[in-house]
Amino acid sequence: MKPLIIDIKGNSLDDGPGIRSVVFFKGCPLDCFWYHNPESKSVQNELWWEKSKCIGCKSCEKACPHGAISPDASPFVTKDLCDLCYTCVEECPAKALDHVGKEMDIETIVKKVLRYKPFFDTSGGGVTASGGEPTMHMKFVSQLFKRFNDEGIHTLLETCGLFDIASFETMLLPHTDSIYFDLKCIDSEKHKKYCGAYNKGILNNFITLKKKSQSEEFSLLPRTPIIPGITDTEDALLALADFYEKHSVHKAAILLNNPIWIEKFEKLGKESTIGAKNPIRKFYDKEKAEEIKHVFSKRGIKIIIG
Amino acid sequence: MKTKKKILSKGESAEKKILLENITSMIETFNTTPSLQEELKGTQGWINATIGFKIDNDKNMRMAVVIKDGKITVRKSIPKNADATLVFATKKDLTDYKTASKDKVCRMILASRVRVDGNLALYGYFDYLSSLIFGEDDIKASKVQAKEHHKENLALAKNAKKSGRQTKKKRIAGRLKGEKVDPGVHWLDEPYLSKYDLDDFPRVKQFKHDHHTTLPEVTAEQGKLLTDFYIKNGYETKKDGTPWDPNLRTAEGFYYLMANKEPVVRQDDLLAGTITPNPICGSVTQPYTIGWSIWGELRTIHERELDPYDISSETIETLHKHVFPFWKDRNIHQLWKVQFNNPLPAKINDRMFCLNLWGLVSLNPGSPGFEKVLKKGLTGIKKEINEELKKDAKANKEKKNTLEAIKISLDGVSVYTKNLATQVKKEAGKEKNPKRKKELEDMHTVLLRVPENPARTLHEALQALWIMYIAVGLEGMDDDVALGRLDQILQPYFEADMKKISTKKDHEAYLSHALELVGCLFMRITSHRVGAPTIASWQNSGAPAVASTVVGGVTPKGKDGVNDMTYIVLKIVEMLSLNDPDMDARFMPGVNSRTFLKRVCEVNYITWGTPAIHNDDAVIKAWSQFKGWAIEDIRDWVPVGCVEPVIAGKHLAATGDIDSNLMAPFGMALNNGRHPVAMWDLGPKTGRVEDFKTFDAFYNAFKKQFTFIYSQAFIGSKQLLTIHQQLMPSPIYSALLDGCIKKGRGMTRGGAKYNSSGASLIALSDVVDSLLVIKRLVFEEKKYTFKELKEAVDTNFEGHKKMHALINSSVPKFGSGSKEATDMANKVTHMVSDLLHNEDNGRGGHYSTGYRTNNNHTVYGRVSGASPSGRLAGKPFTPGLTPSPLASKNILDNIGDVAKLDPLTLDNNIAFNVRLVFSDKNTHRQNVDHVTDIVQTYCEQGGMQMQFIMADSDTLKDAMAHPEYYSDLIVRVSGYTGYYVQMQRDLQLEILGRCEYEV
Repeated sequence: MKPLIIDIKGNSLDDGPGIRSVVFFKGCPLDCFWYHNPESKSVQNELWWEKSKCIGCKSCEKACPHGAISPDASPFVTKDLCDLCYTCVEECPAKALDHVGKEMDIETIVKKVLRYKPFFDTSGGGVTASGGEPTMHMKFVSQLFKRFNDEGIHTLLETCGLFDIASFETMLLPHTDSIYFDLKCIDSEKHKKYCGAYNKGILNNFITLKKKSQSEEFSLLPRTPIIPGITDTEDALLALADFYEKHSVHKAAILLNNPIWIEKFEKLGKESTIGAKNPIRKFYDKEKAEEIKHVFSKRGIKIIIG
Repeated sequence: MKTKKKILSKGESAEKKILLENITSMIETFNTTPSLQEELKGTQGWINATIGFKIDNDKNMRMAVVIKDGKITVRKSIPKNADATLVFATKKDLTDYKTASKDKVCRMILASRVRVDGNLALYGYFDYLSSLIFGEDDIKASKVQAKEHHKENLALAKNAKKSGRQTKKKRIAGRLKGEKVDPGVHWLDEPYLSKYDLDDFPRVKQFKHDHHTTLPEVTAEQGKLLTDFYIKNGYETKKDGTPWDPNLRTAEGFYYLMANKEPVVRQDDLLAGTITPNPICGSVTQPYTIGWSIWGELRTIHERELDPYDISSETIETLHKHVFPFWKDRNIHQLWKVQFNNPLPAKINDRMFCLNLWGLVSLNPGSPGFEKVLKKGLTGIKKEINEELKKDAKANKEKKNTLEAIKISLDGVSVYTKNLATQVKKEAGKEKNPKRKKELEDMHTVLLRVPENPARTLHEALQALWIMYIAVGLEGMDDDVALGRLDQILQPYFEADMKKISTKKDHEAYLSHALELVGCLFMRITSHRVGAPTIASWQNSGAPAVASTVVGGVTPKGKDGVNDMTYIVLKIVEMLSLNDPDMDARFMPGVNSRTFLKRVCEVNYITWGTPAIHNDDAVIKAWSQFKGWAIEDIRDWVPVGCVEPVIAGKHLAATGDIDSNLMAPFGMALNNGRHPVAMWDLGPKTGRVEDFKTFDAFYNAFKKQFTFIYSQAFIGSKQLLTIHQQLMPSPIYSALLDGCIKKGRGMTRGGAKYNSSGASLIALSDVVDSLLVIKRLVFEEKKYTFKELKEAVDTNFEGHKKMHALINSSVPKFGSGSKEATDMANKVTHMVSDLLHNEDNGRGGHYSTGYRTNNNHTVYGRVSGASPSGRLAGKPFTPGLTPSPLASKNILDNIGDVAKLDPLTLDNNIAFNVRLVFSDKNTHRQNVDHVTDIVQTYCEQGGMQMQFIMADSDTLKDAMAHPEYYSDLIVRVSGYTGYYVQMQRDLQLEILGRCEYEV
């Protein structure tokens, strides 16, 4: 099965060095309470509705054979009736309705990205695979990265860390120049509670790769999303710092909570479970971020805000 | 039957009544008030004029005001010999006009709803007389409108962050250090000169402060002196009845002007001399090019909303009674109409929707060879002339007169310099402060040396340059005279000075002095504006006199041209953030260093958006296609005006000759030759849209309309050239262009070594996108008939929402990375250059083609209906050839597509505007590096020009609402640079609406 590609974003500076193109894969094995790209959680195809583009022509309503869709209602689609035939998408003149994720073959992706190569070359940029979780499509991503390597393009993988390390090492690692590895929290029970899985495998994978990165030609950067009340507690931060110290991590990144993702639920025809007063609905406080940096810098660990 | 007629005639008289009401009360007041009658009399006698009023195609609505020998009367018809007529397109336009706001009047003029036929200067005289009665109302209306705008701006900025007020300070504080890597940098250990800031130069800082806090002044010195001279010595013929040679007429007048001009030395300045008597900022008000056009506003100009000017009552009287009456029939505009019997190109030009021929103003923008004076001195040029005359025993009359005229004009410069020297000496004598006294004495020494003799020091070079800049400006029209390659010109003098200094400490002191001197030059250059009527301010508000200045690029031999002066000039640009000198940088990929490019990008980052960046490789390619142009000369190109390439000191390029709206012929092709805005059956009948069977058939119709409009533009351009040959042969400018002395022909007669004229076209992106829509939806996918599409366009897509959405979502636009779109863009630019490159401009050169738009993209867009591209009625076109904001969310697509345009079709250059905003997560260095990456790649890919605005939307909104915090927020319009807070509101909104790309 070909993976679903949600988007290929250009000129991203947040996802690695230099000017980069980011390929977003659909589907993730974790089930995080927060989710910065809710559209990439499910591996399945989904319907997407961009309200700001809708011109209210009701073409979709008229076209839907199951009466599942109405832009005036909330959510705009009745999931039980919708069989994802996408007739509505075809009929929408404004492209307000769209698929989340399109099947793409490797050459299509390469062709789309290759035109930006001169910018990568000047800036020391390249391609980032993100998601969702690209390693759910290990073979595909490894072939894709190989193609980019052959073209002389730098490759970077953003991963949640939950994958089979043996096949990762044989298939994907040889074509990966850089890895951004998410470490959400060290406490395994907490990880289970908020991310839907224990983190033992993730931590082991990280330790293995960390050791390997000392002798091999790839770089590894752990990253932690700073979610208020979950990953920014004193316990969580100290545990993380201990872990870094133990495994000789001198540089790591934090990703500050960014509430924009909450709006995306509406676009997927879903309701968010995040309460109205939850601090997750706010941008993370910058001063607090500096305090977090300090927790680590005291112990000789450099923190960059990604 | 009878009743019907009665009602009709009642209706007509209603419009007449509207006019009569005002006019009758005005006339009564005049004829009963002796002090007002005095206003009808000039120094040369009564100022007479007959002004008509009419509605197009309405025989009943005709009337006239006759101003004769001190009396004003009304007529019920328009006499045949009327001087000027105010024409309304329809009855409704007349009633609208009566109640229209100031903005609306401008829009009506630009949309051809109202126009003036005939002698525009005399219509201005009538306007002046009206302002004596209604001027207060007019000023009130300006104030009401300004208040309304302010209210709207406050609402717009309600939720805008105010952090923009601190942005510049932060960016200045973060400035980088540079490494000494460029082979031409010898004396600067840290070329970014990061240790200096404006506080180190209190003199220059004070000048900058004055610049931002002082209104420019309308002055009459030049007009008065020229008028005095020609009244005394004759204009059409000499006093003895013998004909004038045009060169000698200009030269004698110029000599008189320079000899009698007040020698002004600004307090505390290091460079002597001013363009106008106002040392901070003045408008020359050149009487026969554009000065006359403010006649109607002399009494309201100080209170108008856009580009207000101070003006003294003495100046008003001099201009109104003495200067303008003399030149009312002797200005370019009027001579064009009279000598060529009101030709069609003049009619098209005056209706404003399509052509804007800069020949009406000057043959600038251009770049005279100031360097020649620095190297040879005026004596050297005079020597060259004498030798040429000795060599050429058979020199014809034209040659003798031309060269004689040059000598007289150069003598005028010498006399002015002597007067300045005397003045400086006088001031030194009176000066109590020993430091300033010494400065004045040094200035005196400098003035005794230059520009008469070759310059030896940086100070001499700058003083000579400045005096020659004054001279060229005052000889002609004082607009768009470029300084040229300032780093290349000044480096030898800087080095010579440095070599004389032995200690490190003295080097430091001298460097600081050099920075201050260049700062003084910049403040001198920015001390003038071109006073123009409200409508011109509306069109290009905030536009300076545009003294383009460039650094970087390659030398004539193709080597790296970056040197010490490059970085010194860039430092001044960073510290002063002026809209003029209009700053440019040339970058040759593979030759110029990244260190240099990075500094250029950093200066952009700190100043919000200057210098504009040009790719040497693309420009040099574009000009190498023409036979007989030496590569060494092409490599010495400079951008002038907005962006246009000229070879300094060798080339008369008249780069602004034809500005035109490409949407005009396109609209005419959609409407079978009729222009939809001007409602004028102007072009050839190329068929109705329903009759086009193929896309190519429609494209051919577009091409025919385009060819028609340009054939008229060519005629107009060449007619205006002949006027310039009589009126403005420009001996000094000619002396500074290689070829003129040897050929014995002035620049207007094709004397320069290289010749061309420039065209620039507006709305390229929109026309290309429109063509793509027609091709795809009408002829390929057949989703709509051409008629349906046209109906949608004609009704601004009302009732065609689905079609509009489909256009925006499904047809790739130029700038989206689609090959089809770049192919279409190249097809159009080739169509344009194929026609223009093959037309002789009357001076033995071609017409060059480019895509910068000043602010006309906003203005024309404001008065145009919707486009097939999906652009709605009244919305601006994109600036320059910038892709539509809807083309792509990814700036790299925009950049990639613009870089794919064939440079051979862009020899008059492009303006590619990019608005960047920065995430506060990144450091100063990261942001600058990133911009540098973008620019470097764009140039390496072949893109020709790029200019930035580095302010986010909140900053722009806050600036609109609270201009006091943003006096030096400079923005690139499309080409020229202006202060954002001084711009017309539509233009501010256009800039705000430009796509912002986050970095």
